[in-house]
Amino acid sequence: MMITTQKAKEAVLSSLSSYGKIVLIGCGGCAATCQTGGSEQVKEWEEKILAGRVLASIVCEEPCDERLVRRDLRRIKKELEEADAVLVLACGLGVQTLVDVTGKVCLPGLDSQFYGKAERLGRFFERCQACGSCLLGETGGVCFLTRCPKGLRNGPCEDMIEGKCGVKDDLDCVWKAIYDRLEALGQLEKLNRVRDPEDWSEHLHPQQVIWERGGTGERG
Amino acid sequence: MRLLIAQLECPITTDIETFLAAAKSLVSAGGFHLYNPGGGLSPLALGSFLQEELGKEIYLHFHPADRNRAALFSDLITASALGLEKVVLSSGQHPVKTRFPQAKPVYDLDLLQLLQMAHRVRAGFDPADESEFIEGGVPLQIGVSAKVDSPLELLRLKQMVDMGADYVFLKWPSQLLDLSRLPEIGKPIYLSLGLEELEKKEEGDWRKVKDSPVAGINLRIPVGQEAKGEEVLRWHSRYL
Repeated sequence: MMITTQKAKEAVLSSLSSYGKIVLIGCGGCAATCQTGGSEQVKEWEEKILAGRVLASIVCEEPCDERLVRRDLRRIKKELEEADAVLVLACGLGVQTLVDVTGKVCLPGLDSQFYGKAERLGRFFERCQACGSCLLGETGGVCFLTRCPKGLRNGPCEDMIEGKCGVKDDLDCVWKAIYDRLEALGQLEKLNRVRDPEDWSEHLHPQQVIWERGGTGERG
Repeated sequence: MRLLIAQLECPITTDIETFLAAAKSLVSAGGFHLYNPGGGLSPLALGSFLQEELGKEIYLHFHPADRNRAALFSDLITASALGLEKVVLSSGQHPVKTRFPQAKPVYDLDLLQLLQMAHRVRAGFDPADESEFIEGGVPLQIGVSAKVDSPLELLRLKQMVDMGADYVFLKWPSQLLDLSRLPEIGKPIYLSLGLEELEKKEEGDWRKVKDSPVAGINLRIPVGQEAKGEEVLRWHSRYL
Protein backbone atom coordinates (compact mmCIF):
# COMPACT_ATOMS: atom_id res chain seq x y z
CA MET A 1 0.00 0.00 0.00
CA MET A 2 0.98 3.63 -0.29
CA ILE A 3 2.18 4.81 3.09
CA THR A 4 1.23 8.38 3.89
CA THR A 5 1.90 10.81 6.70
CA GLN A 6 -0.03 13.93 7.61
CA LYS A 7 1.32 17.29 6.59
CA ALA A 8 1.79 19.79 9.39
CA LYS A 9 -1.63 21.31 10.11
CA GLU A 10 -0.21 24.84 9.90
CA ALA A 11 1.07 24.17 6.40
CA VAL A 12 -2.29 22.79 5.28
CA LEU A 13 -4.19 25.69 6.82
CA SER A 14 -1.80 28.09 5.13
CA SER A 15 -2.44 26.47 1.75
CA LEU A 16 -6.20 26.83 2.38
CA SER A 17 -6.03 30.41 3.62
CA SER A 18 -7.21 32.02 0.41
CA TYR A 19 -10.14 29.63 -0.03
CA GLY A 20 -13.40 30.00 1.89
CA LYS A 21 -15.63 27.02 1.32
CA ILE A 22 -13.98 23.63 1.44
CA VAL A 23 -14.96 20.10 0.49
CA LEU A 24 -13.04 17.43 2.35
CA ILE A 25 -12.25 14.06 0.79
CA GLY A 26 -10.61 11.14 2.57
CA CYS A 27 -9.42 7.70 1.51
CA GLY A 28 -11.01 4.43 2.55
CA GLY A 29 -7.98 2.44 1.41
CA CYS A 30 -4.33 2.99 2.20
CA ALA A 31 -4.71 6.32 4.03
CA ALA A 32 -7.41 4.82 6.24
CA THR A 33 -5.02 2.03 7.23
CA CYS A 34 -2.29 4.59 7.87
CA GLN A 35 -4.80 6.57 9.94
CA THR A 36 -3.98 9.67 7.97
CA GLY A 37 -7.08 10.01 5.79
CA GLY A 38 -9.76 7.66 7.09
CA SER A 39 -13.13 8.60 8.54
CA GLU A 40 -11.72 9.64 11.93
CA GLN A 41 -9.21 12.03 10.39
CA VAL A 42 -11.82 13.47 8.03
CA LYS A 43 -14.11 14.03 10.99
CA GLU A 44 -11.37 15.76 12.96
CA TRP A 45 -10.61 18.13 10.09
CA GLU A 46 -14.29 18.83 9.51
CA GLU A 47 -15.39 19.36 13.10
CA LYS A 48 -12.30 20.81 14.75
CA ILE A 49 -9.62 22.14 12.44
CA LEU A 50 -11.82 23.55 9.67
CA ALA A 51 -14.98 23.98 11.74
CA GLY A 52 -17.61 25.99 9.87
CA ARG A 53 -15.78 26.01 6.53
CA VAL A 54 -16.56 22.52 5.28
CA LEU A 55 -19.51 22.24 2.88
CA ALA A 56 -19.30 18.45 2.71
CA SER A 57 -16.99 15.58 3.46
CA ILE A 58 -16.72 12.08 2.11
CA VAL A 59 -14.38 9.11 2.38
CA CYS A 60 -13.94 7.70 -1.12
CA GLU A 61 -13.47 3.97 -1.30
CA GLU A 62 -10.26 4.43 -3.31
CA PRO A 63 -9.50 7.98 -4.44
CA CYS A 64 -6.86 6.68 -6.87
CA ASP A 65 -9.50 4.85 -8.91
CA GLU A 66 -11.28 7.29 -11.19
CA ARG A 67 -14.32 5.03 -11.56
CA LEU A 68 -14.90 4.85 -7.81
CA VAL A 69 -14.25 8.57 -7.40
CA ARG A 70 -16.90 9.45 -10.01
CA ARG A 71 -19.35 7.13 -8.31
CA ASP A 72 -18.71 8.44 -4.79
CA LEU A 73 -18.69 12.12 -5.72
CA ARG A 74 -22.25 11.93 -7.04
CA ARG A 75 -23.35 12.17 -3.42
CA ILE A 76 -21.80 15.62 -2.96
CA LYS A 77 -22.16 17.02 -6.47
CA LYS A 78 -23.88 20.23 -5.37
CA GLU A 79 -21.38 21.02 -2.59
CA LEU A 80 -18.49 20.37 -4.93
CA GLU A 81 -19.84 22.91 -7.39
CA GLU A 82 -20.02 25.52 -4.64
CA ALA A 83 -16.63 24.74 -3.07
CA ASP A 84 -13.65 27.03 -3.52
CA ALA A 85 -11.20 24.17 -2.93
CA VAL A 86 -10.99 20.50 -2.09
CA LEU A 87 -8.78 19.25 0.70
CA VAL A 88 -7.70 15.70 -0.06
CA LEU A 89 -6.57 13.38 2.71
CA ALA A 90 -5.09 10.79 0.36
CA CYS A 91 -1.83 10.08 -1.42
CA GLY A 92 -0.65 12.00 -4.46
CA LEU A 93 -2.51 9.57 -6.71
CA GLY A 94 -5.76 10.49 -4.99
CA VAL A 95 -5.12 14.22 -5.25
CA GLN A 96 -4.38 14.00 -8.97
CA THR A 97 -7.35 11.77 -9.68
CA LEU A 98 -9.59 14.31 -7.92
CA VAL A 99 -8.08 17.12 -9.99
CA ASP A 100 -8.85 15.13 -13.14
CA VAL A 101 -12.42 14.34 -12.06
CA THR A 102 -13.51 17.63 -10.44
CA GLY A 103 -11.34 20.23 -12.17
CA LYS A 104 -11.31 22.01 -8.79
CA VAL A 105 -8.37 23.32 -6.79
CA CYS A 106 -7.37 20.17 -4.90
CA LEU A 107 -4.87 20.55 -2.08
CA PRO A 108 -2.95 17.73 -0.43
CA GLY A 109 -3.32 17.14 3.29
CA LEU A 110 -0.89 14.21 3.26
CA ASP A 111 2.57 13.35 2.03
CA SER A 112 3.08 10.10 0.11
CA GLN A 113 6.09 8.35 1.60
CA PHE A 114 6.61 4.96 0.00
CA TYR A 115 5.11 1.63 -1.02
CA GLY A 116 5.26 -0.33 2.16
CA LYS A 117 3.99 -3.20 4.17
CA ALA A 118 2.11 -2.77 7.42
CA GLU A 119 3.68 -4.91 10.09
CA ARG A 120 0.96 -3.69 12.43
CA LEU A 121 -0.79 -0.35 12.81
CA GLY A 122 1.77 2.38 13.14
CA ARG A 123 4.68 0.27 11.86
CA PHE A 124 5.12 0.60 8.12
CA PHE A 125 8.19 -0.45 6.16
CA GLU A 126 9.26 0.34 2.61
CA ARG A 127 9.52 -2.87 0.63
CA CYS A 128 8.92 -2.12 -3.07
CA GLN A 129 10.05 0.53 -5.52
CA ALA A 130 7.80 -0.50 -8.38
CA CYS A 131 10.95 -0.99 -10.48
CA GLY A 132 9.08 -2.70 -13.29
CA SER A 133 11.21 -5.86 -13.36
CA CYS A 134 10.73 -7.85 -10.18
CA LEU A 135 13.75 -9.96 -9.21
CA LEU A 136 12.44 -11.27 -5.90
CA GLY A 137 12.54 -14.80 -7.30
CA GLU A 138 16.33 -14.55 -7.49
CA THR A 139 16.91 -13.17 -4.03
CA GLY A 140 14.82 -15.30 -1.73
CA GLY A 141 12.02 -12.74 -1.75
CA VAL A 142 14.15 -9.90 -0.37
CA CYS A 143 14.29 -6.69 -2.42
CA PHE A 144 17.80 -5.24 -2.67
CA LEU A 145 16.68 -2.20 -4.65
CA THR A 146 14.45 -1.05 -1.82
CA ARG A 147 16.39 -2.21 1.19
CA CYS A 148 19.92 -1.23 0.13
CA PRO A 149 20.39 2.56 0.46
CA LYS A 150 22.67 2.39 -2.58
CA GLY A 151 20.30 0.08 -4.49
CA LEU A 152 23.20 -2.24 -5.35
CA ARG A 153 22.21 -5.11 -7.61
CA ASN A 154 25.20 -7.41 -7.14
CA GLY A 155 26.09 -7.90 -3.53
CA PRO A 156 27.10 -5.75 -0.60
CA CYS A 157 29.35 -2.72 -0.68
CA GLU A 158 32.59 -2.41 1.23
CA ASP A 159 30.88 -0.39 3.98
CA MET A 160 29.08 -3.40 5.44
CA ILE A 161 30.33 -4.07 8.98
CA GLU A 162 29.46 -7.36 10.63
CA GLY A 163 26.28 -7.66 8.60
CA LYS A 164 25.19 -4.11 9.33
CA CYS A 165 24.59 -1.40 6.74
CA GLY A 166 27.34 1.20 6.58
CA VAL A 167 24.95 3.92 5.46
CA LYS A 168 22.05 3.52 7.91
CA ASP A 169 23.60 2.20 11.08
CA ASP A 170 20.39 0.69 12.48
CA LEU A 171 19.78 -1.34 9.34
CA ASP A 172 20.89 -4.90 8.62
CA CYS A 173 22.69 -5.20 5.28
CA VAL A 174 20.10 -6.49 2.83
CA TRP A 175 22.71 -8.53 1.00
CA LYS A 176 23.56 -10.32 4.22
CA ALA A 177 19.82 -11.01 4.59
CA ILE A 178 19.70 -12.31 1.01
CA TYR A 179 22.77 -14.50 1.61
CA ASP A 180 21.23 -15.97 4.79
CA ARG A 181 17.90 -16.55 3.08
CA LEU A 182 19.43 -18.24 0.02
CA GLU A 183 21.69 -20.33 2.22
CA ALA A 184 18.65 -21.51 4.19
CA LEU A 185 16.89 -22.33 0.94
CA GLY A 186 19.94 -24.15 -0.44
CA GLN A 187 20.09 -21.67 -3.32
CA LEU A 188 23.41 -19.89 -2.76
CA GLU A 189 24.33 -20.49 -6.39
CA LYS A 190 21.90 -17.69 -7.24
CA LEU A 191 24.46 -15.25 -5.86
CA ASN A 192 26.87 -16.15 -8.65
CA ARG A 193 24.81 -14.40 -11.26
CA VAL A 194 25.98 -10.89 -12.13
CA ARG A 195 23.01 -8.73 -12.99
CA ASP A 196 23.33 -6.24 -15.83
CA PRO A 197 22.90 -2.54 -15.19
CA GLU A 198 19.34 -1.28 -15.36
CA ASP A 199 18.21 -0.08 -18.77
CA TRP A 200 16.80 3.31 -17.87
CA SER A 201 15.50 3.91 -21.37
CA GLU A 202 12.70 1.53 -20.40
CA HIS A 203 11.70 3.67 -17.45
CA LEU A 204 10.81 6.98 -18.99
CA HIS A 205 8.29 8.81 -16.87
CA PRO A 206 5.36 8.98 -16.86
CA GLN A 207 4.83 5.28 -17.40
CA GLN A 208 1.58 3.63 -18.33
CA VAL A 209 0.08 0.20 -18.72
CA ILE A 210 -2.56 0.02 -21.42
CA TRP A 211 -4.25 -3.30 -22.06
CA GLU A 212 -4.49 -4.38 -25.63
CA ARG A 213 -7.85 -5.75 -26.71
CA GLY A 214 -8.11 -9.24 -25.22
CA GLY A 215 -4.86 -8.70 -23.34
CA THR A 216 -3.96 -9.76 -19.82
CA GLY A 217 -2.13 -6.74 -18.48
CA GLU A 218 1.23 -8.12 -19.45
CA ARG A 219 3.67 -5.34 -20.17
CA GLY A 220 4.40 -5.02 -23.86
CA MET B 1 60.01 -5.32 -1.43
CA ARG B 2 56.39 -4.42 -0.93
CA LEU B 3 54.92 -1.28 -2.40
CA LEU B 4 53.87 1.43 0.01
CA ILE B 5 51.00 3.46 -1.39
CA ALA B 6 49.83 6.72 0.14
CA GLN B 7 46.10 7.21 -0.32
CA LEU B 8 45.30 10.90 -0.45
CA GLU B 9 41.88 12.49 -0.53
CA CYS B 10 41.49 14.93 -3.40
CA PRO B 11 41.53 18.29 -1.62
CA ILE B 12 38.90 21.00 -1.64
CA THR B 13 41.15 23.75 -2.87
CA THR B 14 42.52 25.39 -5.95
CA ASP B 15 45.99 25.50 -4.44
CA ILE B 16 47.68 22.66 -6.26
CA GLU B 17 51.17 23.73 -5.14
CA THR B 18 50.35 22.99 -1.50
CA PHE B 19 48.95 19.59 -2.49
CA LEU B 20 52.09 18.85 -4.49
CA ALA B 21 54.32 19.87 -1.57
CA ALA B 22 52.34 17.55 0.74
CA ALA B 23 52.69 14.68 -1.73
CA LYS B 24 56.42 15.37 -2.16
CA SER B 25 56.90 15.16 1.60
CA LEU B 26 55.79 11.52 1.43
CA VAL B 27 59.17 10.33 0.18
CA SER B 28 58.66 6.76 1.46
CA ALA B 29 55.56 6.30 -0.69
CA GLY B 30 56.20 4.30 -3.83
CA GLY B 31 52.85 5.30 -5.22
CA PHE B 32 49.86 7.51 -4.72
CA HIS B 33 46.23 6.52 -4.64
CA LEU B 34 43.89 9.44 -5.28
CA TYR B 35 40.41 9.21 -3.88
CA ASN B 36 37.65 11.75 -4.32
CA PRO B 37 34.69 10.94 -2.06
CA GLY B 38 32.83 13.86 -3.62
CA GLY B 39 33.47 17.50 -4.28
CA GLY B 40 37.27 17.55 -4.30
CA LEU B 41 39.64 18.29 -7.15
CA SER B 42 39.49 15.83 -10.02
CA PRO B 43 41.71 12.78 -9.41
CA LEU B 44 42.40 12.76 -13.14
CA ALA B 45 43.90 16.25 -13.03
CA LEU B 46 45.78 15.62 -9.81
CA GLY B 47 47.03 12.24 -10.98
CA SER B 48 48.35 13.68 -14.20
CA PHE B 49 50.03 16.46 -12.25
CA LEU B 50 51.60 14.10 -9.70
CA GLN B 51 52.83 11.68 -12.32
CA GLU B 52 54.55 14.46 -14.19
CA GLU B 53 56.10 16.00 -11.07
CA LEU B 54 57.00 12.90 -9.06
CA GLY B 55 57.14 10.06 -11.55
CA LYS B 56 55.63 7.57 -9.08
CA GLU B 57 52.90 4.98 -9.50
CA ILE B 58 49.50 6.64 -9.61
CA TYR B 59 46.30 4.79 -8.75
CA LEU B 60 43.07 6.58 -9.60
CA HIS B 61 40.03 5.68 -7.57
CA PHE B 62 36.72 5.59 -9.44
CA HIS B 63 33.34 4.89 -7.89
CA PRO B 64 29.72 5.12 -9.06
CA ALA B 65 28.31 7.03 -6.08
CA ASP B 66 28.26 10.34 -7.92
CA ARG B 67 28.73 9.34 -11.55
CA ASN B 68 26.59 7.50 -14.04
CA ARG B 69 27.96 5.11 -16.63
CA ALA B 70 28.58 7.83 -19.20
CA ALA B 71 30.68 9.87 -16.77
CA LEU B 72 32.60 6.79 -15.61
CA PHE B 73 33.34 5.81 -19.19
CA SER B 74 34.62 9.32 -19.78
CA ASP B 75 36.85 9.06 -16.69
CA LEU B 76 38.28 5.73 -17.81
CA ILE B 77 39.24 6.83 -21.28
CA THR B 78 40.53 10.16 -19.98
CA ALA B 79 42.75 8.34 -17.47
CA SER B 80 44.16 6.22 -20.23
CA ALA B 81 44.66 9.21 -22.51
CA LEU B 82 46.64 10.91 -19.73
CA GLY B 83 48.86 7.85 -19.36
CA LEU B 84 47.28 6.91 -16.03
CA GLU B 85 46.69 3.22 -16.41
CA LYS B 86 46.08 2.04 -12.86
CA VAL B 87 42.54 2.39 -11.58
CA VAL B 88 40.93 1.19 -8.37
CA LEU B 89 37.19 0.65 -8.44
CA SER B 90 34.93 0.66 -5.41
CA SER B 91 31.27 1.12 -4.54
CA GLY B 92 32.00 4.57 -3.12
CA GLN B 93 30.56 6.24 -0.09
CA HIS B 94 26.89 7.11 -0.05
CA PRO B 95 26.50 10.91 -0.25
CA VAL B 96 25.04 11.02 3.27
CA LYS B 97 28.49 10.01 4.50
CA THR B 98 30.25 12.73 2.51
CA ARG B 99 30.46 16.51 2.49
CA PHE B 100 27.36 16.57 0.31
CA PRO B 101 24.73 14.63 2.27
CA GLN B 102 21.95 16.36 0.32
CA ALA B 103 23.26 15.12 -3.04
CA LYS B 104 21.36 12.50 -5.00
CA PRO B 105 23.11 9.12 -4.90
CA VAL B 106 23.75 7.86 -8.43
CA TYR B 107 24.76 4.18 -8.42
CA ASP B 108 23.78 3.75 -12.05
CA LEU B 109 26.32 0.92 -11.90
CA ASP B 110 27.48 -1.09 -8.94
CA LEU B 111 31.05 -2.22 -8.40
CA LEU B 112 30.74 -5.45 -10.38
CA GLN B 113 29.05 -3.70 -13.27
CA LEU B 114 31.73 -1.00 -13.21
CA LEU B 115 34.41 -3.69 -13.28
CA GLN B 116 32.65 -5.31 -16.21
CA MET B 117 32.49 -1.98 -18.03
CA ALA B 118 36.16 -1.18 -17.36
CA HIS B 119 37.08 -4.51 -18.93
CA ARG B 120 35.05 -3.79 -22.02
CA VAL B 121 36.65 -0.36 -22.29
CA ARG B 122 40.10 -1.94 -21.94
CA ALA B 123 39.20 -4.28 -24.77
CA GLY B 124 38.30 -1.24 -26.85
CA PHE B 125 34.54 -1.49 -26.73
CA ASP B 126 32.20 1.41 -26.16
CA PRO B 127 29.77 0.41 -23.41
CA ALA B 128 27.07 2.56 -24.98
CA ASP B 129 26.54 0.29 -27.94
CA GLU B 130 29.25 -2.38 -27.68
CA SER B 131 30.90 -1.08 -30.84
CA GLU B 132 34.68 -1.16 -31.06
CA PHE B 133 35.74 2.44 -30.50
CA ILE B 134 39.47 1.94 -30.42
CA GLU B 135 41.34 -0.81 -32.16
CA GLY B 136 43.59 -2.79 -29.87
CA GLY B 137 41.92 -1.47 -26.76
CA VAL B 138 42.89 0.93 -24.02
CA PRO B 139 45.76 0.31 -21.61
CA LEU B 140 44.18 0.00 -18.17
CA GLN B 141 45.14 -2.01 -15.10
CA ILE B 142 41.98 -2.56 -13.14
CA GLY B 143 41.95 -3.05 -9.40
CA VAL B 144 39.03 -3.39 -7.03
CA SER B 145 38.35 -2.52 -3.45
CA ALA B 146 37.21 -5.46 -1.31
CA LYS B 147 36.73 -6.94 2.15
CA VAL B 148 36.90 -10.51 3.40
CA ASP B 149 35.37 -10.31 6.85
CA SER B 150 32.47 -12.63 6.00
CA PRO B 151 31.75 -15.55 3.64
CA LEU B 152 29.59 -13.21 1.57
CA GLU B 153 32.46 -10.77 1.09
CA LEU B 154 34.83 -13.58 0.24
CA LEU B 155 32.36 -14.82 -2.36
CA ARG B 156 32.19 -11.36 -3.83
CA LEU B 157 35.98 -11.07 -3.97
CA LYS B 158 36.18 -14.39 -5.81
CA GLN B 159 33.53 -13.11 -8.24
CA MET B 160 35.56 -10.00 -8.99
CA VAL B 161 38.75 -11.98 -9.48
CA ASP B 162 36.87 -14.33 -11.82
CA MET B 163 35.67 -11.26 -13.68
CA GLY B 164 39.28 -10.25 -14.25
CA ALA B 165 40.29 -7.82 -11.49
CA ASP B 166 44.04 -7.33 -11.90
CA TYR B 167 44.73 -6.51 -8.27
CA VAL B 168 42.85 -6.02 -5.04
CA PHE B 169 42.89 -3.25 -2.46
CA LEU B 170 41.78 -5.27 0.53
CA LYS B 171 40.55 -3.67 3.71
CA TRP B 172 42.70 -5.06 6.53
CA PRO B 173 40.73 -8.17 7.57
CA SER B 174 39.24 -8.20 11.05
CA GLN B 175 40.90 -11.59 11.50
CA LEU B 176 44.35 -11.18 10.07
CA LEU B 177 44.94 -14.89 10.50
CA ASP B 178 42.57 -15.34 7.58
CA LEU B 179 45.04 -13.56 5.37
CA SER B 180 47.09 -16.71 5.06
CA ARG B 181 43.92 -18.59 4.22
CA LEU B 182 42.92 -16.25 1.45
CA PRO B 183 42.09 -18.30 -1.59
CA GLU B 184 44.73 -18.60 -4.20
CA ILE B 185 43.43 -15.63 -6.05
CA GLY B 186 46.67 -15.20 -7.90
CA LYS B 187 46.40 -11.43 -7.95
CA PRO B 188 48.41 -8.83 -6.06
CA ILE B 189 46.76 -7.79 -2.81
CA TYR B 190 47.36 -4.41 -1.22
CA LEU B 191 46.25 -4.18 2.37
CA SER B 192 44.34 -0.99 2.94
CA LEU B 193 44.03 0.81 6.24
CA GLY B 194 44.01 4.25 7.80
CA LEU B 195 46.69 5.97 9.85
CA GLU B 196 44.82 5.54 13.12
CA GLU B 197 44.16 1.86 12.45
CA LEU B 198 47.79 1.28 11.59
CA GLU B 199 48.99 2.79 14.82
CA LYS B 200 46.97 0.20 16.72
CA LYS B 201 48.64 -2.70 14.93
CA GLU B 202 51.15 -4.70 16.88
CA GLU B 203 54.39 -6.25 15.78
CA GLY B 204 52.71 -9.66 15.60
CA ASP B 205 50.25 -8.33 13.04
CA TRP B 206 53.12 -7.17 10.87
CA ARG B 207 54.87 -10.50 11.15
CA LYS B 208 51.75 -12.13 9.72
CA VAL B 209 51.72 -9.62 6.91
CA LYS B 210 55.37 -10.27 6.23
CA ASP B 211 54.67 -13.99 5.95
CA SER B 212 51.70 -13.43 3.67
CA PRO B 213 51.56 -12.94 -0.09
CA VAL B 214 50.56 -9.30 0.35
CA ALA B 215 52.05 -7.10 -2.39
CA GLY B 216 51.90 -3.84 -0.53
CA ILE B 217 50.20 -1.51 1.89
CA ASN B 218 47.74 1.22 1.01
CA LEU B 219 47.77 3.79 3.80
CA ARG B 220 44.96 6.33 3.95
CA ILE B 221 46.44 9.62 5.06
CA PRO B 222 44.02 12.37 6.10
CA VAL B 223 44.50 15.83 4.65
CA GLY B 224 47.08 17.73 6.70
CA GLN B 225 48.62 14.63 8.26
CA GLU B 226 51.22 13.96 5.59
CA ALA B 227 54.17 14.49 7.96
CA LYS B 228 52.80 11.88 10.34
CA GLY B 229 52.00 9.65 7.36
CA GLU B 230 55.60 9.84 6.17
CA GLU B 231 56.87 9.00 9.64
CA VAL B 232 54.62 5.96 9.83
CA LEU B 233 55.43 4.82 6.31
CA ARG B 234 59.15 5.09 6.98
CA TRP B 235 58.88 3.16 10.22
CA HIS B 236 56.80 0.38 8.72
CA SER B 237 58.86 0.10 5.57
CA ARG B 238 61.46 -1.68 7.75
CA TYR B 239 58.97 -4.49 8.30
CA LEU B 240 58.00 -4.78 4.70
